Amino acid sequence: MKRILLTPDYEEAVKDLEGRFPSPSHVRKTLTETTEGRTKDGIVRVVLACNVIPIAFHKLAYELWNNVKELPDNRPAAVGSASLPRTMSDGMLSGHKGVPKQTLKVLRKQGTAQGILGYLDATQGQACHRTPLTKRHPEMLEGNERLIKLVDDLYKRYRPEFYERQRVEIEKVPMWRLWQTVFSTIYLARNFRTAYHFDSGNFKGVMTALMPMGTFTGGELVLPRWGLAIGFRPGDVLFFDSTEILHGNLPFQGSRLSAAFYCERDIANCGK
Amino acid sequence: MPSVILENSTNRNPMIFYRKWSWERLAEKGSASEAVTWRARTGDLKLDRHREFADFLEHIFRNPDEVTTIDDHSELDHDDIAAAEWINSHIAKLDAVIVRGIAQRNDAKIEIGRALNEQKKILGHGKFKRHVSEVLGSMISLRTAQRYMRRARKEDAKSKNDKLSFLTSASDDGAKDIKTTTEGARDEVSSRPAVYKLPLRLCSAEGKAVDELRTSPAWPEAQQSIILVLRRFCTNHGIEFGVNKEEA
Repeated sequence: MKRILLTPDYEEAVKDLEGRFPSPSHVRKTLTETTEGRTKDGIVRVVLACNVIPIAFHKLAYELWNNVKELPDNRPAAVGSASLPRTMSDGMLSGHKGVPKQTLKVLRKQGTAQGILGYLDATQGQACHRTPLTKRHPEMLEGNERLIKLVDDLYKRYRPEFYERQRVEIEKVPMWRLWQTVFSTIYLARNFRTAYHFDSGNFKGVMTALMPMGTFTGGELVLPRWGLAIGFRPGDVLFFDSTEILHGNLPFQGSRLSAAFYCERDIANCGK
Repeated sequence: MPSVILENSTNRNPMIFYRKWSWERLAEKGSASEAVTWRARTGDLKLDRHREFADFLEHIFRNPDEVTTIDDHSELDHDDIAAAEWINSHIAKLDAVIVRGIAQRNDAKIEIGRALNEQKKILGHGKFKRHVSEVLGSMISLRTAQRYMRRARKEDAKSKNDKLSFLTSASDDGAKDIKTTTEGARDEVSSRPAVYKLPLRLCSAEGKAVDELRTSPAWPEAQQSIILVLRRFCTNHGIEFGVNKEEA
């Protein structure tokens, strides 16, 4: 495995970039082979594992997952829009906020959609639950059991220290995990060119596994903190802490689906 | 990354290449100098094993027919796998120590350079040179100090330029579409009235009357009058009531 030092570090400079779209000018270096990136403190921040998912696995996943339909109306930062009050049928503004309707229309035209599989932790007014998409289409999860377990194995192999931390957390609530893995949830994003954002709903201090699928060119994931672009392809998996590291995509051509395997932030409270 | 195991026909102990590319590069080049490079990478092995390993490599380069490549870990001796894994993880740990050390050393030089630059700014050229030779001279020569100062200036200039390049916005069509529609939506929202829930203490009869008023054709006028009353009260108490964009 290639090892690189992530430097220079623009931690302060990138703080204002949330909600803005990545541009090729933000990239100093592109990773395209199996690589481990460490910061000066010696901590591994990014691991790109190339050609680790068999073609049959990611092709099946693409087929089963590509029909997600929800619009990302609850993710203004990732969409790159403001969070604005929704308009009610009488033309008045409601107290609920989200991505404006006009922007959602543009996203629909671009073929953007999202879906969540597995379990979600409790939010205001809603207890921990199995996602509606999983209830409607259990085959989306069950058909990909081997893939999910493989990603879990890769996580354990490449970053055992983070894996262990996540395992301890999720083992508190064995009912709310995907098989015996350390993941509780899979977030699917179809043709979603994201602006810089953090994944605030994920468990902190561990890593998220990101896996692209489909037939596309471009779409590199940019981590502006180090001017780093991840040129990953179907079959590759990226591990990084998406709650701490600002990330977004460059534009792409073709059909692209990406899956984020993670553990919900407060999943351990589901047992209480 | 799968390990590649090499065995020769003389029943020698199997040797494990910990990185596949090392073997590919060795096989490509087929030279003893490459073997020496690889030998240097296994810094944890004892010298006699080094020599033995180098001899072994020399031998297989000269007699490639005796070499078979096995990719299947199940044919490996358990101890060999454990040894290979231990060396891999230990090398990775040492890499981390080295990387951290190098980074800290470079940072330290830049920090020294920055401090010296600041001293020079305060003391002026002549006094600064004297200060370096008299106070710091036993630890750092003037030439080294100047090198560190140059390095700090270069680093600062670089990071300033780099930060500026982040300010450029993405200019592709997708990003522009999202930006334009969001701006449009923001303008629309700012000029659109929202429902404001005004908490009023009313008895039930009064509440019923207000409900009736709200469903009557007189409600728009009543609403305007209520807003005017609120505006007057705000003005009287020095509170700015706010003006709609359209009205402005």
